[in-house]
Amino acid sequence: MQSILSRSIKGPIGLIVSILVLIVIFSILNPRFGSIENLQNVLYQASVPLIVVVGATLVIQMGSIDLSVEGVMGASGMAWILLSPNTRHALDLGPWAWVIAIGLGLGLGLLSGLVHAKLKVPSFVVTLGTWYVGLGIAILLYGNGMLPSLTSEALARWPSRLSLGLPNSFWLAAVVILGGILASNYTGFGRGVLAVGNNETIARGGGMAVDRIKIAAFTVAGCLSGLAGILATMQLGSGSPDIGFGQLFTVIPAAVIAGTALGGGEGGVLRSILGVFLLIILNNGLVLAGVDPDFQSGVFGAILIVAIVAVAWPTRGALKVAK
Amino acid sequence: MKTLFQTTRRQFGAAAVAAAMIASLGSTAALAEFAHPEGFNPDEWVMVASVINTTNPYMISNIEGAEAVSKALGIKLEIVNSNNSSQTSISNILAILASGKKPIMFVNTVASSDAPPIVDAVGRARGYVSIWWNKPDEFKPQNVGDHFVAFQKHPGVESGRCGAQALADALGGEGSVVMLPGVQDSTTSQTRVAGFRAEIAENYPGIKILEERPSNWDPQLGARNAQDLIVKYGDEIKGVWAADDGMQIGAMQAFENAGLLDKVKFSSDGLYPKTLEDIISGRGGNAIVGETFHRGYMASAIGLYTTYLAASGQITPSELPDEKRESLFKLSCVTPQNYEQYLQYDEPGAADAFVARLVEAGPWDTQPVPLVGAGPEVLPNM
Amino acid sequence: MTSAIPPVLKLTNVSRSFGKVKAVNNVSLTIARGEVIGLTGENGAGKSTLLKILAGIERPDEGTMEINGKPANFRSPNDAFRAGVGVVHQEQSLFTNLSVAENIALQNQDRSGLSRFGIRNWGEINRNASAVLDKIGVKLSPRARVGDLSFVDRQMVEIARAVCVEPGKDATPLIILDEPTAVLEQAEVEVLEREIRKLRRFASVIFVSHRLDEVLRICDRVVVMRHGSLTSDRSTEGVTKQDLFKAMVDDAPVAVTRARAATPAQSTPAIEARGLTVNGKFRDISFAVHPGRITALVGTNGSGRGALMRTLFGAGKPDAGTLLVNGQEVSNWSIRKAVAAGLAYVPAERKVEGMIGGYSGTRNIAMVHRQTAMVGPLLHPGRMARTAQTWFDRLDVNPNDITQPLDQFSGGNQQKVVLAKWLNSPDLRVLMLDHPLRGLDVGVSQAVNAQIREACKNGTAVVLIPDTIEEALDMADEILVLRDGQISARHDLSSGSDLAIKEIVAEMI
Repeated sequence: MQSILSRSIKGPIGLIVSILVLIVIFSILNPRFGSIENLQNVLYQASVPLIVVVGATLVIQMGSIDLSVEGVMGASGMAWILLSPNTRHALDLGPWAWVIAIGLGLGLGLLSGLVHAKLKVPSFVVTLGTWYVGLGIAILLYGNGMLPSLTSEALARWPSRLSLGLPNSFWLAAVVILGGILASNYTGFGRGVLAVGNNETIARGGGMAVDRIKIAAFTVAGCLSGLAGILATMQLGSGSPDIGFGQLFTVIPAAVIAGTALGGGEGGVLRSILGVFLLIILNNGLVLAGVDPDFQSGVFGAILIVAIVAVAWPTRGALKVAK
Repeated sequence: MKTLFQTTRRQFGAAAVAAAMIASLGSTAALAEFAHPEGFNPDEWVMVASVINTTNPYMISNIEGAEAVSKALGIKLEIVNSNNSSQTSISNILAILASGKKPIMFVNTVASSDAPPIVDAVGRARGYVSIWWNKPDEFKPQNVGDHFVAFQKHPGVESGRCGAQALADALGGEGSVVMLPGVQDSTTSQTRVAGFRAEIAENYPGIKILEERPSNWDPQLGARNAQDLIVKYGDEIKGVWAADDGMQIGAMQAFENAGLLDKVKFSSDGLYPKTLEDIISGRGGNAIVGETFHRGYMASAIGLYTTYLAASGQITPSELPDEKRESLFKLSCVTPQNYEQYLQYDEPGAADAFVARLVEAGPWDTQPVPLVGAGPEVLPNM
Repeated sequence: MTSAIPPVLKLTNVSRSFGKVKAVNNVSLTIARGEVIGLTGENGAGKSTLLKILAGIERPDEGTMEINGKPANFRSPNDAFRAGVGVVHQEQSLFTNLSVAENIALQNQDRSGLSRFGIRNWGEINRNASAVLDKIGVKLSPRARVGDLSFVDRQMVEIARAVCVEPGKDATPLIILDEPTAVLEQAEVEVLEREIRKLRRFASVIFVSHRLDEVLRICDRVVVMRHGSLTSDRSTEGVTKQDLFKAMVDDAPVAVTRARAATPAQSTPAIEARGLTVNGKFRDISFAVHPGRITALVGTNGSGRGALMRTLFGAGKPDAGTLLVNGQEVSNWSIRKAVAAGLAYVPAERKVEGMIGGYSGTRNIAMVHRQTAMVGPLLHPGRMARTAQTWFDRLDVNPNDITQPLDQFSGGNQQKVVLAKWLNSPDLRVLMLDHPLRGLDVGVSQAVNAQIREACKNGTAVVLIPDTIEEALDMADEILVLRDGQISARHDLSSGSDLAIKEIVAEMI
């Protein structure tokens, strides 16, 4: 574990520095930024993208991409809330609601993986398809009825309730992250993902079960998107087919900023997590600093570019090719 | 603006009673075979309802209204899902226009700039169109031609004023509030924000607006921004106004999580079923103090029916007065005291009943959303 | 069953065809325990296909194969691996983003102890790798990332991975080294030779190489292939290079020895370095190359000559010193400026830096100098094709198809196209070549050298990083020996002095 930590930290030193600089600046601009309350707030807000980014990182490390995140979140979130105590009807399957909703995510991920690996369709196209399949399922489940909201106080409050000083949402994300790090570093699957991302031809030539690894990665990503959909639904207290809105363009930039090359083979779960925190902290800090809404998008983009330059600085070189 | 607002308030009671009476009559009328005027063959026409997406409750309600009109008039209906994209919207509409039938169309535009190309295409297909909510101010039906039957909307300034009054009154005219506008460059959001700010500036000097955080009509972004604002201002925030109920749902969840729901008042626009439920249950110590009432199905039904009247020759758009070409329809202020009047409009079959009354009374006189003025909407001087 | 020990490999009448081409034609071959066999032949002679059959990548159409006395029907590379056939591929087949230990372990997935219940045991993986690296006597950290290693070290990792084969009791592993020396320096080839001598104690080895002297030095027996068939199979005892050469090619070309160019008295050097330094790579390098002369940079892999050449081409910034091109001092030197000034660079990593594999020969050639193909601001497809066709004809590129994507050509023919890309310059002042003959067979090597000489005759200055010292002696007018980033010796060959290889090696290390 020691060596893995040091190996993972060595790369994103620029990223860590960027985050620290942002924290210092925002704390000066508004002392409340550094408060325990805001820490809890940031962790709460980061938990959904953190869960999604673990799966997304595995897929991107493999040199593929999963665009289906928002659709899968919508389908799983909607399935879960309709099977949990809600204002639509009295159906309450308890834990089975989780199983079925995550199973739905698993199924969609499996579909992406199978079509991608077996029919050799680019993942970009396949997952664009599963995105809309997922959204379609969510819309069908939603129907024309009223917005389903959670009637169980316990479920609705669970994500924000604190355990050991941190919100439960974050603990859920932390468990997923830990699992992701372990899978990535200690299982044949995780190492296989890196090998396939580095050179698929060699991996096949060396007798690795490349197709199985690909299918597994998409399936894991689907499950995690499903779980994220449930958590987002719980956080909002209501179901919506759009529950995943905006997650895709949080998670993919987060992974890439952190050095997970879209070409595959590089980066890691731990790094992507730093990427998510960079984006969430940046957004949160700008609100707390009171940046005028008219300027917020522009300022967000400008700071992001500076941060990315800082991240990429150590690896620049005359003949390095950026794509 | 102020006077208009006062009239709307006074008319409330009468309107509600009338509406209830007509509603009971409506259902039988809809069952009868619809009698089209001489020379109108419904088989030559297709009804088209173009909505921004199919996931937002308001859009789903738009579709419901279109279905009710289609059923009542016996004309086939096509739904266009724009998937939040102007491009998709226009290309899908063009595809339907190419099918050969003449369109009777209602469009809830994704962006103002979509209106001209859509109207132009409908004209070439010898159809008729009414547009709701968004169009460029200078693009007027009167100047375009009879195929652009009308532009219709509920006044956004009115919505903002409603919310401001309810919120400020509930706070006793004293305290700090935050605002959650929708998509920043949307006219709908801008007019509502302007109305809110104008009402506070004119009549409530004791209310301080701490900050505005555009939340893109997205409940989750509403929740996230509310969380950040809670961290920033803590219990200094006494009131929250959101440009629509979706964002209010998110914001209320954030305040509830922070344990502050019963110390803060909320007002917004749309009276979503979920919001109605919260008003009824008195959630968070009657946290919701003000709403506005309008329904998606009413908008699409009025739009389609107006268009149908033009298509079937029962009205000639160029002969209509300005307020019937560029129209503002009534928006009702809802409070925890009067919400019960609006429950009937969410009953099963309410859309069909509304359409029946619409056919009876015409597109400009149907309660609870009669015509109240002419557009374009003028933003208050600030 | 006889009591005699069965041969490690026994091929009987093995054939494999692709379409009409018989890539391997009726080959029979037996390898005994501990034997080191040299396999040689021109590019396209069928060596690669034969190796692929042994490695389980291709299956023979006809014939039988026995490994350690057991019939072998490999369906996958893993089958071959389990049976005890380990291959060190010609193309690097390591995952550059993973560690040394992990690359070794990935080939060995079913080996016990490396993972428990599907969970990687990093301690065991690293220990296992250390043990294997020790066994072959290589000092490398198992934790090092392969992407950070030099070519030689990667080669060692490949060998270590192949050596992991443990086919079981009474069975001898067969290690196939596919052109392992192609990317190695002189000193490292010696390391490899020692390595192979160690390997034969517990394995049989097939050593594939174009370098006939290496084959004769290292192997017990040498097998020559031509057009898919074995044309020679004999002990290396008493065999000369000339004998092998005759078996390899249909008509042996006459070796051309170039007349050395004299030091020009007055001409301006095409390129000149004065005290050029890049911290950590090389320092205080001064030399000049005049038009029409060839300067060879000789040294070991870490001597800094590769970095020096890249700096000359503008791919890196010098920390000190000046660079003069055509007599003019340059500042803010960049690749763009270098190309504009008539410099050309043929990189060692041809596939990565020298060409675009998915592009046709036409497009590759038109990539840098396209003046001849321009009509106003536009590229003229017909002229592009004509230019490409001219070069394909002149360099005898095979197949002579300018529209075929370059990655479908053999390495030698790719190198010809890369060379053509630069030779197409209307005003070629300096031609720099980093290992231009790497992985090329004798015929192609001679063609490439002929082109270099041709350019030189037309007044181009050439800077060459050769594969071997022989190559330097054959080609260069001047040899600069680099050691630890500094010039340790200069030899002007135009004076006609006879230089011994030993002498140069001594200056290198």
